[in-house]
Amino acid sequence: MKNRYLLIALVLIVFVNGILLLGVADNRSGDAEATLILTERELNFRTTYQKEENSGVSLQLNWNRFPPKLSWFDAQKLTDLGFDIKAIKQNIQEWDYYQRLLPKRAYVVLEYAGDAWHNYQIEKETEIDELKRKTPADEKKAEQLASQIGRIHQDLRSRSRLFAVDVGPDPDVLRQHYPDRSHFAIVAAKVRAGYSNTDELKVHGRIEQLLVSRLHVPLSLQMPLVGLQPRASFSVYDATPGVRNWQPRYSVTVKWGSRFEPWVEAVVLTPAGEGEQGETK
Amino acid sequence: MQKEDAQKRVDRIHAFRDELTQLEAAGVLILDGDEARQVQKYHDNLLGDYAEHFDVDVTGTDRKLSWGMRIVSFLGALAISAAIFFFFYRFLGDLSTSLQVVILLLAPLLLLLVTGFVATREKTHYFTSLLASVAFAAFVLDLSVLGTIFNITPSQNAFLIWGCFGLLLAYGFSLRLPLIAGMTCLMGYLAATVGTWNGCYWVSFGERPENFIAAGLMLALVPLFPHRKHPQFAGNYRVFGFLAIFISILILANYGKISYLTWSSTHIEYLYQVLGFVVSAEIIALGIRRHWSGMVNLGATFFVLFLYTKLYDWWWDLMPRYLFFLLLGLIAVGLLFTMRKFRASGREVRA
Repeated sequence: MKNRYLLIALVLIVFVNGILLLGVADNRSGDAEATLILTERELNFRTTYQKEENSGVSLQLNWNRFPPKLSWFDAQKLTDLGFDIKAIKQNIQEWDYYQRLLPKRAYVVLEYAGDAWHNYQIEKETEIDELKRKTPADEKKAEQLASQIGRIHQDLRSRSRLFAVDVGPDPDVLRQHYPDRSHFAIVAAKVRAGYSNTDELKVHGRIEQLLVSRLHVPLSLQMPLVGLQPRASFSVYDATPGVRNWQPRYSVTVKWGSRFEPWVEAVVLTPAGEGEQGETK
Repeated sequence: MQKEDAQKRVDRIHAFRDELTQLEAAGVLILDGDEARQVQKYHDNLLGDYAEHFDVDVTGTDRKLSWGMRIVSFLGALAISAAIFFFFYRFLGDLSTSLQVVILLLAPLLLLLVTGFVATREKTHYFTSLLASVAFAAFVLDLSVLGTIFNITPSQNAFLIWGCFGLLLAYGFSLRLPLIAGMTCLMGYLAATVGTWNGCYWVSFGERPENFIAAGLMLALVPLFPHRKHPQFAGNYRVFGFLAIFISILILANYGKISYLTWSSTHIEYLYQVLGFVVSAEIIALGIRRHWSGMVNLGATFFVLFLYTKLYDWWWDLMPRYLFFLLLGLIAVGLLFTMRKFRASGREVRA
């Protein structure tokens, strides 16, 4: 190889790694943009079938996608993000026009254990009250009713308390509206426009995915997670005491930096987690 | 002189010797003793010289072995790259962050230095190609894993960096495999960037095949820059670029919904079907004029693909399967007769 190509390639490797690490340092320097103390409800520790082949440990950031349609993510928000609402409304009668709508990058405000979670609790408790007022026709129906109520209770105990409450193109403007850095995190996300084929033919937005949703846990912070079994999926109501009485086993301090990229600062076991680790030992 | 030029000269010498034997047997041309010995000696010296300096394939056996060595080198590169990939994922998580960063940085650096060292010792570049490919894989792993460790937001700039690295390896060592890897990464970067020009988030660049048409065109035009020291790369850029264009056109010819155009899907599909036929025919014609056999083959392949997909649209539901495939076969035979006629008329014109 000509020496100059070799030299350029070597310099490229060093330079790019340097820029990347400087970016990381820049993100983590100064005061954190946001600091949230989340639990296992919001940060899942799940293993994969390839766990033996991957020694890395990461936590999946879960946010509560309730309600499925975000009423606040309206046409005005989409316009602010650069979507052409006029074009969407002109073609809205075409049944598959939504396939032509490309996503955009945006910043989403995630609220932790705030008004959105409070409203969710009220709604679910109202559902429970309504179900309790029903009179089941027979034993089977009574079991079904009990099962439904149990599912909602389980949901309230285990579901993420992180909700998306706003979206915009400029994170600094969003932070001015949500200044509490211990309850609101601003994260980058991919969003799309959609529409309802109802009489109103309403245009709305949806958050397709957070751009960084898996958080790496450095080796120095992994100790509390050693020995914990991966959390099973709670998609189906399970009457076993272990599931019915489930409590989060750890809390995680997550910080977001100046580039809105997160990192794990601390992992602490809760009493439930300490109990499980004790059993394992 | 490059190795490819030397190999072409060797092939011409062998062709000359074979033809001379035929001419002598037919009594058309017989060199006298001195002339024959002079030519033989001159060619033998040349072959020996080229074998020593360029390690070209002097005999048919050499050529077959060379092909085998290229395939083995490629498979070896894939296997070692996969081994490094899985090794890192298996053990890297058990190390501190600082150590992870150091190892990820050192791996491509050391592999690159070893590649450079081996290249100075080896004329044929089989081991160099293997090591260069592994160095490329290590660099890809370096940035990917750092991105995972530090939860960095994904960016299309990674494709640009990997693409540049691949090209540096390709041009520095005159290797095709890193060139293809580099072109693939650059294709991703260009397509993603074209996508962002249309307001789309870069990760979704694959939702619009036109992004790849633009990217493919940019790559296909690279040979307009002189490639005096690597003339063999020009063909690679053209074929790779047009391969991306043809695949994109083929997709849009069958699924117009994912086009940037705001017409009805049916009209978009018609447009791209016509474009497919026109472009593939033009590429065949251009390839014949410029003696670019790769482009002729590419154009012919996709012309037939476009034709077969169109015939499928028209006839698949209209007739029994055996009849459908019989008709396809007869069309292929018809095409062969037509192409033979073109070839014969071309010879008449030259005569």
